[in-house]
Amino acid sequence: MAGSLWCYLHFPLLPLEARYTDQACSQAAALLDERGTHVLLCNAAATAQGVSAGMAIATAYSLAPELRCYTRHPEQEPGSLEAIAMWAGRFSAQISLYPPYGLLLEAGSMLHYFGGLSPYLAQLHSALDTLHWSAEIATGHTPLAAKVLAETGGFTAEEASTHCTRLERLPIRGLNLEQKVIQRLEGMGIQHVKQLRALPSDALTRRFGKTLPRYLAQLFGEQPDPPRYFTPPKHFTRHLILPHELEHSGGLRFPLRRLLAEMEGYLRQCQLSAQETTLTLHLRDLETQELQVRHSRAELQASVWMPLWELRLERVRLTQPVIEITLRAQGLAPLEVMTTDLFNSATAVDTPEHLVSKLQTRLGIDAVQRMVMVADHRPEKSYRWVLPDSRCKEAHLPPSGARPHWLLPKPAGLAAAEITQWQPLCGPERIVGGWWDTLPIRRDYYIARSPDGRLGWIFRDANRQWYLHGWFG
Amino acid sequence: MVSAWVVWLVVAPFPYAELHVLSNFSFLRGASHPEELVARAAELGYQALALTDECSVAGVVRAWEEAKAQQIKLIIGSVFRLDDEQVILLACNRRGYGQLCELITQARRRAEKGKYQVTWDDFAHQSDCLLLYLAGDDLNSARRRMAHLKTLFPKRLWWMVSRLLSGDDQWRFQQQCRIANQLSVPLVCGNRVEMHSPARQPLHDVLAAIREQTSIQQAGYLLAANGEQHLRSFKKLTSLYPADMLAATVDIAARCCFELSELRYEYPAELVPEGRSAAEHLRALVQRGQRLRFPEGVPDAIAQQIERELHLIAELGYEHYFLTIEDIVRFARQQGILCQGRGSAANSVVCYCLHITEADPREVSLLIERFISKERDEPPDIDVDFEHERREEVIQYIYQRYGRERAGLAATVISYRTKSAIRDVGKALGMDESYLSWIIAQLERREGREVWLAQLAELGGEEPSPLYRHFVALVEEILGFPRHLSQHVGGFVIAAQALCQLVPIENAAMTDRTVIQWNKDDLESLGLLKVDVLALGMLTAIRKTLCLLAEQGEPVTRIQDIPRGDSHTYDMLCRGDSMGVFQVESRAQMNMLPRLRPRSYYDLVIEVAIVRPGPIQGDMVHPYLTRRQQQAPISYPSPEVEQVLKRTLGVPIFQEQVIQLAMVAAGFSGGEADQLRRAMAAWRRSGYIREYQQKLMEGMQARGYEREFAERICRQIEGFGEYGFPESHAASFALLVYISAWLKCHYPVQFCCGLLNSQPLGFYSPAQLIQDLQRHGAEVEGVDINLSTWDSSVVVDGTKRYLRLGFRLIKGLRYDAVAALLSAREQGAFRSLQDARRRCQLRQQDWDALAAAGALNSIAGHRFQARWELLAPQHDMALDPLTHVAESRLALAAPDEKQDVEEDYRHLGLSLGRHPLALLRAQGELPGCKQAEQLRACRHGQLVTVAGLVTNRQRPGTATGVTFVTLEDETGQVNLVVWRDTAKAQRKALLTAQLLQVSGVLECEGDVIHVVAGKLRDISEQWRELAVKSRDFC
Repeated sequence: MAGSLWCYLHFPLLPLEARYTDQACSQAAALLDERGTHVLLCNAAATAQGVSAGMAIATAYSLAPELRCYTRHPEQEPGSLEAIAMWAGRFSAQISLYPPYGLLLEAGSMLHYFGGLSPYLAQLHSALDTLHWSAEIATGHTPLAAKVLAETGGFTAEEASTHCTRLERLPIRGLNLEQKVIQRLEGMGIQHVKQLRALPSDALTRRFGKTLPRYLAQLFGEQPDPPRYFTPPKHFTRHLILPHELEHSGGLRFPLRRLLAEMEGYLRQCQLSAQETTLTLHLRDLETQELQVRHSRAELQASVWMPLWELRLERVRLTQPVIEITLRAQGLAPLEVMTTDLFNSATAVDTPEHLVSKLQTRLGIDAVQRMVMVADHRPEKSYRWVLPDSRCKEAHLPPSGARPHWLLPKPAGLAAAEITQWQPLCGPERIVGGWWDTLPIRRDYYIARSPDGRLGWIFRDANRQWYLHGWFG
Repeated sequence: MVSAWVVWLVVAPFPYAELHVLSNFSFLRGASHPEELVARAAELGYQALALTDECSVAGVVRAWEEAKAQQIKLIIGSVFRLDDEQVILLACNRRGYGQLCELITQARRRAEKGKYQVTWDDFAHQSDCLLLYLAGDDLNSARRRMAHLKTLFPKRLWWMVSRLLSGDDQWRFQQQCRIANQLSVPLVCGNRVEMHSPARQPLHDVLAAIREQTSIQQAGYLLAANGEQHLRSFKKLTSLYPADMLAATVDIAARCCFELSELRYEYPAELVPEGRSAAEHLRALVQRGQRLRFPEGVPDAIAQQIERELHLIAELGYEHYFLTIEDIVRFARQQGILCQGRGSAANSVVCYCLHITEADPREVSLLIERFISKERDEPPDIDVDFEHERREEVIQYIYQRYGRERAGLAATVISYRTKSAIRDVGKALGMDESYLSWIIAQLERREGREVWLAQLAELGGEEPSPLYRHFVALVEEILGFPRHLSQHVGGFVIAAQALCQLVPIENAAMTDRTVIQWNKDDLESLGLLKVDVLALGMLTAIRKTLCLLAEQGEPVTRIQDIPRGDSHTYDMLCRGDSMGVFQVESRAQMNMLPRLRPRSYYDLVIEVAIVRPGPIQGDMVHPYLTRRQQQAPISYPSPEVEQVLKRTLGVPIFQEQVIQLAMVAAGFSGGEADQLRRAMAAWRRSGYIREYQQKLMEGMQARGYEREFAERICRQIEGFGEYGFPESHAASFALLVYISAWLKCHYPVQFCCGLLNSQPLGFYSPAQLIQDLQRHGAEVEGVDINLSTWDSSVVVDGTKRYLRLGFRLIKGLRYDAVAALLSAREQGAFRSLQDARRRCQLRQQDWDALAAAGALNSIAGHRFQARWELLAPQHDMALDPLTHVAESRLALAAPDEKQDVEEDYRHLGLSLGRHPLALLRAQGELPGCKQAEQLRACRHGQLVTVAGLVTNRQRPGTATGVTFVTLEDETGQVNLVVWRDTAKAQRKALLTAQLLQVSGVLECEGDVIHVVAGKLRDISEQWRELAVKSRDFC
């Protein structure tokens, strides 16, 4: 396989960098294990202050008091790598995934499009920079060589012999061998790849099995090692767990920019364009909020979608902090073909959803709302308005006590003279709570008959003032 | 105005008892301490209060102590939940209390730790308990339940109703009254109390959120709708309940006559032979012991002392206590298990005669009266330390002697501390976990509660958010709240009859282990018999050393054989040459020894006690030393004080002295002094000590003592609260200090061997102990497959003794494997690796461990070769000798010196080769660095550069902001002092370096030398692979 050349991208901080929300990469940051007690990964700024992987969180903080910590979401990591693979579509038609942290690109056949290795690598580097992924890049005459060289700090060359010389100088720790095998080899004084290669292959087989000699042969190109190529999925859907709860829609810009870039890579590789992009916001209460942006023509470039989304996000009112987001590309069409007419499908049935959407179109999105119950003892906090299409869990009624069907928007004060006209029927029901937020209350509620014979819900507050809060049917 | 609004009556106090009260011993439910509830009930003017924690009586002793002080009646009971119904049982008398404890025990033993399980069938046999029933939602089922319970608890059954001002409160109240009247079951009211004051509602909400693993923002209806579950005022009570219900509470209270003090004198009887009284039996045992201890006859003074002690013991009724300890200690002696008693009663001639202590009264004039006093009414206290590897045998003996149903382990109440409080409260308030980790990392938690609470408040910024303010307040409030019961390390309680009639027993986390619901302090308050069976590694080491001496025919084979007052031993200690010696081997102690210059047993008692938070925080160390070195005159403010402080040259060192000072100098009564002692012990959990400090200040100033002196005493009291160390314990420890020091001085090889075979113990790693031995001129040989045994051993070679390291030092090597190896070796030494592998089948990892530690070098050449050969499949060699021959030609290069040292450290934890620092120095890597030994020749204030392995980093709570670092090089230890600013500026090097190079200023005072660090340089890069463990105490 003379002349073949591979390029490997190693993303050592992928799980950590997938969790950034803004461009504060210059700040010390670390990814914690699932129990939140030890550092799994840390970025260059943190390393400079002495933080290292495996360190207890207390030690890490004492070294770097401003360290930003993120918790790990292992389920998200394969998604990140696939997304980068889609993005990398413009640099190679043949891409392999090497989870958890790497991508292999077939580079040999691409060089002449880019005018040689140096321009190829230069473009790769500058494209990576805009995505804010830390990456080590290496070439190799075999896939494994590219991988090993990338993981040991990067190296680029065109000749197979140059790669081989470099590989032989590496410590055996750089090879992708089981920790146990490495320890055993080191325990016999074998420190470098060259020493390892010098040992007779049959003696090695007897001690370590067939895998080790085969690995070495594949590494150096003495045995074939065809990679398995990645096939992009039929649809583009990307899910992202945010590192911090976001309370303002403006904060969504950075993660969205990255997702749109990944979408562009995907669309390019598949020779597609999208008519519509949907962003689902997952809110803290397990509710979701869906936002859409359409483009009159189908489009694939992130630079076109981003300004549209910025406009859309400005108009969003968040009812709850966002914890996760999902981006989907819809209305996919082959690049050349123009889309069909949007309005020719005639489904005339007015479902409730259609009615709502019509009302929203006429009155504005926020004008149509739905009320849901919230578990809170305080009457003012026991319900909430949400958008009609948001899905959320409904709370039950309070465990005890009658509640009026008509609750006044704000309790109305009752004058001392007025209150004597009311006749209490039931009560007091004492409600005290909410000390933790902006509406602490301390009230005694009564069901009482008003002077004109209606049943009202009235209360007296801590200052002995009386208020009317609602009417019973 | 409608009449219903008018409740402005002035309500006079009337007799009332609250019968449904949960404290914070109903974990994560009650939001007040038992003592707070009792105090509040008394303040409100209640006649009685029933503490009815959920399936528990864990909080009753604390409540009872407070009730005694407040003079309010305390009723003991417990509440049980059966779905949404609840049952309260109240104990009428001692029998009823026993029945309650038995039921709780049953319910707890059926479920895993922390949970319980009851059924309705369990409520039948409590003939001496009253039952109060609380209905659930379904009132029809309540009706059936009542009809059933009426027959089981005739005239002892009430329907308890409560009005907590919820929405359907009134309706339910009326319904329940109606049904109860129909069934003619009497009604009583109760308020489901879970806090002493409504001000605890925030904490109550937070506890609910912690319990339900949610946050208060999300908890919704899991929180109570209001804060009505508190002890209510008379005004509120009359407005909510009819008079007959209120009166019923008092009737019920009147029928509950059980007092916890009734439990007091229930001692096991079997230790006294029939026909003899306990006093007679004790006297007989003492007389028997006297003949052994004083074969040449008892001196008159001692005989009188024995009489006085026996008299005191009889007067206080402590005979059974001494008999029980004597029985356990006798068992240990028969089994050859070393033990040593300590504590207030242990330092007596009686205990010497009973072999509970080895402290010889002829040598030490320790008066038992100094420790036990009639007027102070303290229960006797003897802790017995046993060899740590054999303590389990003693525990098994106790179970076998008294039966599992009569002996049990005391509980340790695990309470909220800094970290857990911040985490749990923070999570309950919806704060982010990583933010909470950050907060915790910012606090200097060792600096004491006041300091870190202030730091916590500061972290909220100049204008903290309201939620953060709540956070700080709630963290402070929850501190000291119990979270669960765990097993005490060795506190046994032994009952006269079934233990579960005395106190409930519940499951511990370990399978087949149980704990009782009370902790040590509770048992002490009740005056119950408690025996502390503790484990002490040094006793193991001493016994192993003595065994070695016996094997080698040395004249000293027992503790009694060791001559006292040996000047060589004291000379050694005065040099600070104390590595491995009990209690005085820490860096602080090593620094203190040359200053204090102990020359007698009592000096050692002081030495042990002086390097502790009490004397240090009270600034008593320096005054004592200057007086001892006769640089300052010894004076006493008054003759009474002279009596208390004479033995410590006028400077209070011991906890006992401070208590006595409170009596003679501040006018405390005996009872008050005892309360002060308890408050000191409980300082962390209650903070009650402040009022005593106030009283002490006032009392001392009123009697003409200087304010400054009084203030120091107060600070010392706080220090004792942090870590109390009484003279009575120091006296027993000092004896072990002397014994271990004597062994080190005269038999250093055997002593080091004893220490190595008793690991883990003490302050130093095996590597440090061995280097110390080598520096004392002894030879040490490595682990060898043909020569070593499991333990390290002492080899006798003519007059020479040297140490042979044992297999137990090899990391990851199992005892079983070594046993198999040794049995195969009985047929003769292994000639080669093949020979060994043929004769002995070990798992691959065991062979690996042996090779890694260099134990195969004598038969395989070197480690690398051994490993290479070990990896070849064994059957290959057996079946096909040709392959083997072909392979044997492959000779791997031997490891160099550096590689060998690295491997030694990694797999053995120590190296007998050259020290890494020596290697570095030889390679010229450490230009200008002085060796530890050379520092002695330097002058005070000289600039020096040193380098070494970081073996210890410590930031003690008693030295604000200072980090102590110990470096080790080939000649010894270098002590570094790193000031706060230096540490801050060079955090990375200080906290992460394994090899450190330091430039700084040398300070020496007498024989004590340290380097005040200036510039720190991490030179670990120069030796990257070295894996020596630093023991971090930061």
